[in-house]
Formats: sequence, C-alpha cells, structure tokens
Amino acid sequence: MLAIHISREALRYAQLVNFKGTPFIETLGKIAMPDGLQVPDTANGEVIRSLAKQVANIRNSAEFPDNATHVVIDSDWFPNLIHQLDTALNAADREKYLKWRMREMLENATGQYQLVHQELEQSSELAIAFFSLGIPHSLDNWITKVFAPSELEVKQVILEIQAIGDMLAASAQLDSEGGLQVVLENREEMIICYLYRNQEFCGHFQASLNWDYKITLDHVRGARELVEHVAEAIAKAIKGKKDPENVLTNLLYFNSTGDPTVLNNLKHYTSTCRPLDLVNHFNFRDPEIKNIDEYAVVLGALSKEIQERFSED
Amino acid sequence: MKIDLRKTHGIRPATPFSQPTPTKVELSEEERIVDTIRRHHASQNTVSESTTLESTPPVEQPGRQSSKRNPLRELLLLIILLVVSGYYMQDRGLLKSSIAVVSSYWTDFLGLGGAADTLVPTVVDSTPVTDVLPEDVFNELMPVTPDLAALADSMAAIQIDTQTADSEYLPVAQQPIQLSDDDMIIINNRSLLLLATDILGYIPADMDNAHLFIKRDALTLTASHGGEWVAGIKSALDRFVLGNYNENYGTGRFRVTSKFEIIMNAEQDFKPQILTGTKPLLDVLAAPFNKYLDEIIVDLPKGIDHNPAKFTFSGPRTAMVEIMNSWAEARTNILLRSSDLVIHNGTAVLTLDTEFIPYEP
Repeated sequence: MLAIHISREALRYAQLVNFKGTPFIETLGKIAMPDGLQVPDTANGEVIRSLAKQVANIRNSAEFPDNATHVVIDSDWFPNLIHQLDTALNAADREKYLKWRMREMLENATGQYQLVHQELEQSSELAIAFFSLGIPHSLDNWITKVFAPSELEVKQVILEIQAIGDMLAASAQLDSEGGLQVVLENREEMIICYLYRNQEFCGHFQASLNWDYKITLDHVRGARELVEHVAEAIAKAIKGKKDPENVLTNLLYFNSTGDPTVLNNLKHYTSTCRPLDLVNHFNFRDPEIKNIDEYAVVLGALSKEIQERFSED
Repeated sequence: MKIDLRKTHGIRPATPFSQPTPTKVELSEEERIVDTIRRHHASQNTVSESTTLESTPPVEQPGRQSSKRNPLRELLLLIILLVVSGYYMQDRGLLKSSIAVVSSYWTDFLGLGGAADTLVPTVVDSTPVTDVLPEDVFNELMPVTPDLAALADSMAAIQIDTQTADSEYLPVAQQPIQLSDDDMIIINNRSLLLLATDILGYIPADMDNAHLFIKRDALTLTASHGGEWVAGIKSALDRFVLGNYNENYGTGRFRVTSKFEIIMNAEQDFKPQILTGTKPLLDVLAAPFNKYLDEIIVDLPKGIDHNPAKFTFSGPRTAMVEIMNSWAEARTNILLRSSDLVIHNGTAVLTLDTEFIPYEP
C-alpha cells in the first residue's frame, strides 16, 4: 500500500507492507517537483503529465507492489475557510448561509467547485465552527489521469490537516483533555501550524520565518485572534524568551525541510513543547532513515489505515 | 474531520479524530520481535523517549535441554579442592596471612571498619596501638647523638628552603583589563572587519557574483553557487562570533544567514587611536585609498559627535581586503555599523557605514 503526499515543492511517499500481520513502513521517499510546475492547477496538462510520470516512478520503485493508494494534498491547493455559525439557525438556514459565504469567497468561480462544509466543534453556546472547502469538479478526473497510468487504485484523497490529525490520534498524541494543541512544522524559512482542540481541527496558518526569528503570518484559517496569539507565543519561544502568559500548553514540533537549529530553544519548554514522536509509533524497515519527520503527513495518511486494519487483526 | 475529497460533499456532522482504544492483545512472536526491534531503536535514539515505553515483554526462549550435571557431586569436589588448597597453604605458612588479606578486602568492601576486626582475628599485628611513645622511653631508645642532631637541623633547613621555593611560584594577580564601552566598540569594529576579510578569503577568486553584508549582529552572504569553500565560512564565523548558521539553496543560489554576537577579543595592550576631528579621521580612513574611493557621505561641520559617515570604495578584491585590514588596525574612534561588499564580474564594491564617535576612556 502506498501513501503519496502532493505538495507544492515535492511528492513524498511511504509504502506500507503487511509482514505476517504486522504493518511495516517499507520505503520512504521524496521527489522534488520540477520548477514551474508547483502550481495547484488541476487543468494544467503539463502538471498532470509530470505528476503521472513521477507517480509511475514511485510505483516502479516499490519492491512489493500493492495497488491501494492514499493520496494527501495540501489544503492550500483549495479554497477553504473556517467560520462561525449561530447555533440558533435551523438546518436549512445554516446551509443557505454556508453556501452564500463560499459564493462570496469564490465569486465568479463558484461553479467550478463542489462544496464541503465540515462541522468542527461547538466553540460556545452561541456558535458552531465549520470548515468549508471548495473542491474542483475536475479533481476526480485529475486524480484518475495522474494515478491510473500507474495502475494504482486510489482509496481516498484527504487533506494534510486530516492526515496529521489521524496521525496524532493513531499514535495517541492527540490531546483528549480539550486544550489547544499546536503541531508546528518547520519548513525552509517558514513555519506551518496546525491547531487542534477537542480532538478536532480548529485552525491553520503558514508564516514566513525571518533570519531574526520574526514571524509574519502569510496564510491563516481559523480564529484570527487565536492564531495571532499562537504565532506570538511561538515567536517568543523560538527566540528563547520565557513568557508567563504563554498560550502554548501543548505544542508538538517537527522539522520537515527547515533548519532544525531554529527550534532549539523549544527544548527549554519541556513541559509544554515536545518533538512529534513518529519513530515510536511506526515500524520502519530501515529505522536509520534520515529525517523521518519530513514524512509526518504521508505517514499520517497511513496511520488511519494501520489503526483500522491492523487493530482489527 | 473526515473528508474524502472525491466522495464527500455537502454538510458533514462533526467527526472528531478518535484515539485508538488500548486493548491488551496477546502478541504473536513476530509482533514481539518487531516491538523489541522498534523499542531498541527508540532507546538508542532518544533516552527520554525510552522512559515512556512500556516494558517489553520477554521473548520466550526455547526450553533448555535437561543437564546431566549432579550438584551434590560438584559440591563434594569443591570441598575436597578447598581442603587440599588449605593444607597446601598451611604447609607453606601462607594460610593465616591470606585469610587476613581476604578479610581486610571484605572489611573494606562492606565498609564494616573496626567492627569487622572483632569478627576476624588479626594475625598480622596483635599489639595494641598506643597514641604516642612516652618521651622518656623514646629518648632512652633513640639517644640524640651529634650526628642525628645535625641531620635534624639540615632537614629543618631544607623544609624552610622548600617553602621559600614554593612561594616563588605563587600566581601573580594580573591587572584586570579595564575597557570602556567605546573601547569595546572599537575592538568589535576590528573583529567585524577581520571577519569580513576572512570570509572574503574563502570566496573563490573566480566567483563572479557574490554579496557579503555584515552588521554588528548579523550576516548575509549570497553567491552564485556553493561548493567546498562554504566550509570555510562556517569556520570563520566560529572564530569571530557566537550565533546560528543557516545555509539555503532554495532560490538556486547559495545563501548563508547568521544572527550572532561578536566574541569579545579583550586585547591585552589595547590602545585606540583617538582623532578629534573629521579631517584627521578622513586622513586615516579615506586618504590612503584615494585611488579606490568612490564616495564619502558625511556632514563635515558636525564633527565627531555621533556623526554618520558612509564610505564607498571599488576596485579589485585585494584592494578591498587591504582597506578593511587598514581600518581594522587603525583602531580609530568610529562605530562600524555595517560592511557591504558586492562582487560583480571581478570588481568589488565596498560600502562601509560608520558613525564617528567622541571617545570616552
């Protein structure tokens, strides 16, 4: 079984094998996206051809071919937002509002997308949070064009925010006590944070990380105020400043393509910050693989499968 | 959240991520082996992680074959061996001293001290120990002859000499170096300029495109390509500053950034060259390099009272190195804010952003 994570800069993949009833991560790998093809455009023929070729390479490199494939795509490929709804609205009005809100966002392009509105949590007695996502109608066809030439059977296509949540849950690192949990990914000159609360996704942001550790928010989904608090607390923690009002009580961090020394100061906050633990929760055929953290998302896509299939066994 | 991008549409009810319910399942042999390998690897990687691990169930060992050894017979053989050894040692006169040695080892090992002495009879010396021999008895046994008196005198003299000799090697307290804030500014100017020339020395001569920008707490170096020479940059930084080091090839060019603090070089015989006017300063900083000087931006009437001044030089790299070295060794009363060096097609342009400061010792 394969999991493939499609992001702007690379295709990362992991192969899961079943060895006498025990799941093993057989292979981890990465292929850089060719220059100029990092555009999340499902109608771009060149992108499709390039991706199909790379996927075929991945498929051919697998020593124990298994057609089943989980695909993960970064959420910033799709228009999405998190918004609050009044609990007093009935189901019909709620649907009308959600559609209207997305139409406002997509404007003339509304017809190109089908909409999903995932209820997240009831943040108060008065409001419910929803994650609304626009999925291009062409996505299904695009997936077929990219994966069918390699004869891979795509079992599901999920977002990276879901893959990370699944991974936290499967590896028993998900905070079940209701507090805010932040997963911090350190990429090259940027950080990406995934926010979870009450065992559910609640926010997401990307921020540029300057050489002097200044954080500039680039892309935010979720409550802006909360995100700003989190970003500020992270900036202080990265700089090594102790902040008595630190809102971070549960931060998991991992280095994907970023300089690991950037997060060195987080080691001072051992009670609230800790590295994401992947090694202890997956069986790796080669545990010496460098930078397993880089594959957190793709492993997250497999974790649900491992949890469901192998726990039953 | 549970969204399959190809299948899920419309409004979805909340579906929190679910933790697996811990169940005690009897593991198969393969699973136990896998678990053991994984935990072994984890314990090698991080000590802290290993503390969270559950204890690994022991892997069953195949049953051993029943042995033909007879413990009673072995015990009998051991007793015979001990008796023969004892007889031999008694015959040689070694038995009692060996017992004393063994008992003293055990006494030391168990920390019993004097208590053990009561358990094991002392063989070596059974004489009760007295504190000091009475003086009259001592004098009777050791009469003081003139030779012994002379020997005692000479030993006492030697002792005094030794003390005298030791005192010659007592450490001499060094005068602590007293540096003012302005002294440190001037010393750090020098460190920054030497760091810049050092880094410049590592950039290959055929590099036709590079940019080195250094300010007092950070550095950026970009070049058209990396290579083995990059290691030199890191070592140069290690010599002059304390800070981080980030290499980046993301934009297709080699780029190093570092945020740092300058390592303070407390010069033992530091003597700054204090110049009280802008003209004497310009005579030192610019006049010798007229050939390469492009521009000076300075407010001359303002003098040296925190007066910003910007110098631009251009020419071959060697000339720029010479300028920076000259500035470093001049130790004049300026604050070097930044040094900006651009190399393009064999020509180097050096911009030194400074501030003339009134020196306060």
